[in-house]
Amino acid sequence: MESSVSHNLEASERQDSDCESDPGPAGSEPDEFCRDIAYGSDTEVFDDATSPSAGKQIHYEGAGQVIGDVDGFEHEYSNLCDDPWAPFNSEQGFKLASWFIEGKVSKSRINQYFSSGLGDAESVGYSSMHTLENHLRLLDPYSQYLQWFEGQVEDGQRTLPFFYRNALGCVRYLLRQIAYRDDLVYAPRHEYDSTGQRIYAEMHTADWWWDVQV
Amino acid sequence: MSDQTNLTNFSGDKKAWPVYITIGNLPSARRNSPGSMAVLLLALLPIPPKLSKSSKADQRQRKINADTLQDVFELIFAPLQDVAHTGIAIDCADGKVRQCFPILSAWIADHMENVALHGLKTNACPKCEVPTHELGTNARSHRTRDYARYQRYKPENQNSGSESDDDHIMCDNLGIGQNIFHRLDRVSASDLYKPDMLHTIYLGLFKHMMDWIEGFLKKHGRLQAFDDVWKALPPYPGFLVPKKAYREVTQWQGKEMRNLGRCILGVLAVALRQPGGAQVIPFKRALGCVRALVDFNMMAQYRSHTSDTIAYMEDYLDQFHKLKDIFLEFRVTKRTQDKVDKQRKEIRRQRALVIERVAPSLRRRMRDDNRQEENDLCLDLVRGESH
Repeated sequence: MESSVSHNLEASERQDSDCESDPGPAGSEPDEFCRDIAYGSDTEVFDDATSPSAGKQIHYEGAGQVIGDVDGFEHEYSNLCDDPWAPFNSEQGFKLASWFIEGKVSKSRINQYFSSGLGDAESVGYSSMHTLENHLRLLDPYSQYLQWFEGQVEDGQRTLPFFYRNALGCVRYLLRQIAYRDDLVYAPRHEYDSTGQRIYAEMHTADWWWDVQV
Repeated sequence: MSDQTNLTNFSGDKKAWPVYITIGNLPSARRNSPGSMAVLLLALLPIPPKLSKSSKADQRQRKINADTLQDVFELIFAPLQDVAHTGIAIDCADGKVRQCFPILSAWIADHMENVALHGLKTNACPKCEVPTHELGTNARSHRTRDYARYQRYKPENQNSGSESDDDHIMCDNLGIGQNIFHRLDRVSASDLYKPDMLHTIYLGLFKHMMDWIEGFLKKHGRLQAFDDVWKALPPYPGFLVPKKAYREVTQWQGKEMRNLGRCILGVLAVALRQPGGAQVIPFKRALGCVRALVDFNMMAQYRSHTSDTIAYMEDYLDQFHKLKDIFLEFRVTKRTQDKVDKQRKEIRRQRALVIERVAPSLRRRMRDDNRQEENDLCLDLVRGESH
C-alpha cells in the first residue's frame, strides 16, 4: 500500500515551478510573478527545506491521481498568458480598477471621476461604474458555483428566510482557482525531520487525511 | 481527498449566523491570509431566539428549534453526503481532473455553538464523556463520545428509567437536540471539534488566569506594584504597549490577549519581587503555574510539531495542574452565587478541561484556523460597533 519515497523537498518544489504562470490577483508584472514562484519566495512552508538531510517523506500511493484533463484548460491558460490583463484592455485599466476597489472608492465617486474628465476612459477601457462592473463580472468565470439559494425555516411562530450555497460548488470553486495552482495539495504524506521524527504541520502531514484517504 | 474546515460565528447585533467553508488542500498560511479569499460564506442563518429554561412552552419551542437546526444543516450538507463514498471528478487548478472526496473534517466555533450543534448540554465536553464533576481536573482518559450510539439510546431512555451507570453518565450531558453531524457519512462527529487559540487559550484560560492573579495580588498586597510595572512596560517591535492598567480594560481582544501572554510572566515576577518570609512559597508556586500556562500557549503557536514538542506541551499542562491549587481560593468563590453564575462556572471549568484536549488533538490535526477565527471575531466586533 505505502511506498517510501525519499527526496529533497527543495528539488520537488523547483520541479513544478519552471512553467509560465498567470498574473497574480494583486496585479504584479507577469514576469516578476514567475520569478517569484521560481525562487519560492511566495510561500515558505517548510523552514527546513534548505537542509539537505531533512525532509524524508512517505507518500500515500495512488492518492491525488490525475484521471483526466480539464476541457478547454489549455485554451484558458494560454489566453491568460497572452493577455494577462483580460478582461481589461490594458495594465492601466486593471490597476485603476483594483485601486478603486481596494481603496473602497464609492460608486458615485467613480462616476464623478470619469464625468469630470479626470480619467482617460479610452485607455482604461471603461468609463463609468456600470461598465466597470461589467468587466468585474467577467473576472470571475466560475461564479456560477457560488450561486445562492434561499430556504425557509419555520420555528412554530414565524417563518424566516435563510440563504445557503451548494457546499460542493464551493469546493469546486476553490479547487478550480488558478491563483491557488502552486499551493494546492492533492495527497497526504508523512514528513520527517533530520532525526527521523515525524513532523505534524500542515493538514496533509497529519493523520486525519491519511486515515480517511481511499 | 479534499475537505473543509468550517467556522461559525455570531455577529454583532445583525442577528445572522454565518457559516463559512474552506478546503484543507490549501496550506494554512495561504488559506488564512485575508487577501486570499479562500474562505467562502456557505450559509447565512437566522439566530434561534433565546429561551428561558423553565417554562413548558419554551421547552417545546426548544425542541422545535433543535429539529429545525438539524433540518437546515442536513440541507446544507446534502451535496457532500452523496460524494463522500463515491467521490466525484473535480476540475483542479492545474488543469487536471481528479476524483475528489470532499469530507467535513473540522468545525471551528465557540463552546456554546459547539454544544448546540452537537446536541449537548452546556457543561458537556463535545469530545469525550468526562463527567461534570471532573471538569477542570487533569483527567485525560475518558471515552470519546460516540454520537451514533447516543441516537440509539435516546428514544429508549425517554420511556424506561432503567439504565446502567455508564449510560446514565453518557446521557446526563445530552441536550434536547441531536448532533447535527452524526448522519454525515465518513465524518466522525467527535473529531470535528477543534480547540483554537482564541477561544480556548486567550478567552478561556488566560482570562481566568487573570482573575486568579488579581485575587492573589490583592491578598498579598501587590496589586499596586503589578499595575505600576504593567503601565511602565517599554515599547518593543511587535509588542503593543498597554495603555490602561489591566483592571481597567473591560473587553479583551485576541490581539491584546496575545500581548498579555508575552508580558504577564515578567510583570508578575517583578510585582512579586522581594517576598516576605511566608510569601516565598506561594509566590514561587504562583509564578510556576503562570509560567506553565504561558509556555503551553507559546508552544501551541508552533507551526509544526513533533512528538517531542507535544510531550513538552503535556508536561507544561501537568505542571499547570500541579500548581494551580495556589489560586484555588480565587477561583470560583461565593457559594451564594445564583444559578446563572453557577452555569458560568461550569463553562469556566469546562474550558480548563478543554485545553487538555489540545495536545492529543494536535496529533490528529495541526494548525486549526486560529488566526482565521481571530480575524473573524475582530471583523464581527467592528461590524457590531458600526451598526
